[in-house]
Amino acid sequence: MDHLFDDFFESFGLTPFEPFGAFSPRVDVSETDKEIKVSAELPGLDENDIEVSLARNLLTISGEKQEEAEDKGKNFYRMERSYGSFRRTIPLMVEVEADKIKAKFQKGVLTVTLPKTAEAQRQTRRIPIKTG
Amino acid sequence: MFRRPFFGYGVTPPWQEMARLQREMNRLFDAFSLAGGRIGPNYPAMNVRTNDEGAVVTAELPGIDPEDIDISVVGDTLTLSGSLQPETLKEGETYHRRERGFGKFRRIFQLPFQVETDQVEASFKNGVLSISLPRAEQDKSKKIVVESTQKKLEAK
Repeated sequence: MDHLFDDFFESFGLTPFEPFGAFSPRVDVSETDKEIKVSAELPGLDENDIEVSLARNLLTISGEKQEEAEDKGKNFYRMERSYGSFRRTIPLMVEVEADKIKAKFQKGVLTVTLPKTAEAQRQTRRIPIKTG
Repeated sequence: MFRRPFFGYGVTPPWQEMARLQREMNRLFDAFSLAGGRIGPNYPAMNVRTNDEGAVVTAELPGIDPEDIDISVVGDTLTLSGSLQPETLKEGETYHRRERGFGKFRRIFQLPFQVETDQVEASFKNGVLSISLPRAEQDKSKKIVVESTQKKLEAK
């Protein structure tokens, strides 16, 4: 069963089985001719708690999600939000301009924009399909 | 493919087998919820903390426009609804990976006390909505002084 499901989800490039209860941000990755855009949901974090790094073609988003200070000293009635340190590594399929990467944090969403190198832009070509 | 041999070293107790099946199902649903698209029925994730003064509800709504959130309180019931817009793609932009959800949500939560509805306050910061719900005066706990009969007797 496990392997079956693992294979099924890996075929979509997903890592489905996170340890139960641990926080792991949901991530969208999109691409245009000129850039790659990665957006990650990091609710309750401050921009100072987030670290973004690039090594070779791997973008890593890491940090620690902590409970709000004002939440302490009260009794829990329900707890669904998860906390803890997290790390997500996203492989980029193309070369990017490392010194032109921009990251912004707004409304709990981190958006990283990675411009492709001129070489990478040149290499992305649509291949016409001939009809016979 | 299988974790244990089909006809292995004796029979697994059925309750253990049920627990295992439940774990597998939970994991499967977790996996689906990570696969993006429409948000699930338990969206957004909420924490509720209470004390003598009232309750504080926090909900994770990253990326939402605060104007798209609707909060209503009637008696002891909080209703949180709204819609999360999917990000618009640029011309020629395509997704490689999509885990973030979008769509309409509605969560109804019953508190263990009546709320002073005109004193409810809400704020939104870093993708977290925080609602403070003060306890109604009639639902506040009152200290009951236990009179000592001993003293009364002594006074007589």
